[in-house]
Amino acid sequence: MNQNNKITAAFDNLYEFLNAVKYLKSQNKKFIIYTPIPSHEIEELLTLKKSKVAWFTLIGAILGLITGFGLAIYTSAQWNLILGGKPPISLIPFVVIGFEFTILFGAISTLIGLIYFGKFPKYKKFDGYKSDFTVDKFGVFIEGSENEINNLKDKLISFGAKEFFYD
Amino acid sequence: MKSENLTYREVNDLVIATLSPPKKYYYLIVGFFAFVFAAGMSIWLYMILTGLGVAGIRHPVMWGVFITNFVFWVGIAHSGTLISAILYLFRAEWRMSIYRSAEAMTVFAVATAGMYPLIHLGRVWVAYWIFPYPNEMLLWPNFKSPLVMDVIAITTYLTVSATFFLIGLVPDIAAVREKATGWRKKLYTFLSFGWHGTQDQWLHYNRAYLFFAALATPLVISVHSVVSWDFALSIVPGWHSTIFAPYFVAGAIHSGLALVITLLIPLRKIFKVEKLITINNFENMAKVILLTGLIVGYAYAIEYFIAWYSGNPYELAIFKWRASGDYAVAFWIMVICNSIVPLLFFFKKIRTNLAWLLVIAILINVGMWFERYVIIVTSLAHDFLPAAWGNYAPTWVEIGISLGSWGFFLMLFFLFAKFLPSISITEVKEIIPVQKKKENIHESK
Repeated sequence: MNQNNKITAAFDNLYEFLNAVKYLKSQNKKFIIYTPIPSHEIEELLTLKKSKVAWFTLIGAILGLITGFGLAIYTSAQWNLILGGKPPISLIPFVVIGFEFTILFGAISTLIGLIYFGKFPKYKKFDGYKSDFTVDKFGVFIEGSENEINNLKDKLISFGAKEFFYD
Repeated sequence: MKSENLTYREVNDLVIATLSPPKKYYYLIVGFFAFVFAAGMSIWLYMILTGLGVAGIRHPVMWGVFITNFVFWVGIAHSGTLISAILYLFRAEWRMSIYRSAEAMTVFAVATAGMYPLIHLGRVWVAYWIFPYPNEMLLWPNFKSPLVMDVIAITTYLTVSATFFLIGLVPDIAAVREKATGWRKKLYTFLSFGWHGTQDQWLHYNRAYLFFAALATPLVISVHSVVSWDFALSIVPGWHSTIFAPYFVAGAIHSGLALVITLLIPLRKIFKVEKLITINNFENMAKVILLTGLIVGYAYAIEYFIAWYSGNPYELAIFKWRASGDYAVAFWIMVICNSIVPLLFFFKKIRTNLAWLLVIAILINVGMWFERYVIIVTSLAHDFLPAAWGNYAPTWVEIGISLGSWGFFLMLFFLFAKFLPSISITEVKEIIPVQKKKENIHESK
């Protein structure tokens, strides 16, 4: 294979880009998309499954709830004193502790989930990435044989691709 | 020209231009705030070496300006999360260009607030005793105390708001990375964590961002509720009230939005971002302030009604004394600035005029500080026993430390505005309508 087997097409307009992606998907092509903004249309078009980050949030929040109540109950049991007219283990005031720990652990585990699923940090070079893709261009990176790439290039131009880059 | 009429590239360039190497006056401003902060810290050091007696707090008023400042700064921190999380869930588009600055303000305000309980402790070197960890003294915090709840709430709020703020910055830092050179390029490359805007990255990022917003929303309501319970769970007249939580939350948003306006009016002028932060943004904030001002005004009135209707002589006495006693000036500043002046925002001409907005926002900030001062000091000065009554006035030490904390907050804000994008590049781009060019739309086969 020569250098033409990897190509990146850049688009100015989201809807033109969506049509191109729709076409590539219909051709069962593998590709990587770069966009300067998030797009629900792309998620729908690619029929991407919902991110599993939510599971991290849920598990973290449940652990936080248990930890908050657990810590408050355990430490009160160590003191075992009546304070402010309340029995040592008073669940009502501990709701505040349980709630705050739920949020804290939920947020930290969401962050861990994002790092895990998003594979952050990742400082290596991304295939076909161009700096304009974080500014105003929508990019799609495709691999294929020389013939396939040449045919795709014409098709992508017809969809509105403005620039091409070869890796 | 509205931001909707700009192109993605223009938005990018406008925001990145705010990060260009600063001029001499910028260093002078930051240097001045750093000096004020250092002076405040020196006064704190003097207080540590001399003892808490150099502050004005003494029996019966053991909570003075330090705790007033703590509650004030926690309140200031509320608008950031309101704008970034609550309005995000409501899909309010007008938040897009202002939420980043408000979020930064939140993080810096919580950090500033967090200093005050430490300052107020006196013996700050034993502050770690309040943390729950197994130790040889068998000393555990009392989780039934609202003060300990408050430590947990504020720590959680600082952690979550800082994380939310940093996560929101990542795609923007990647955009800045592409334009930066030299050491800045290296720094922004590192801070972008390898963000390239792939479909996978956006998928997980959007989901995580939604959950951060969903977690931050009840958190922000809880934090000032817990702060209010520092007062409301005691039996002190003027504090022991069931309306404190919503009253404090409304007041917090009231003061926070006022400070956002106070900071953003000069910021948009200095950075020449009038196309991004428009009058519409300020008008919407003014409308929310109008609402919170009405809630706060209603709370002031209902406190008097309850004091009279309950038939509790101690409660009625403290409220009469607040309006006519030694702290009457502070009380009337509070009422006028917080609930009467904001009514001017009923007039469109006023809420769309920057000079009026700035003046009213500053007055609200003054009023909200006095609200905390009036609540804290008057109730402690006049509780049940006339023989135990006593007045309080802050000393130069308390005033110096308070000014120092303003220096700290403004220094951080100015550093942030020059090193990180103070307007969200990505979210402003999101509200620019994409042109559907019919002639270019092809049906896939």
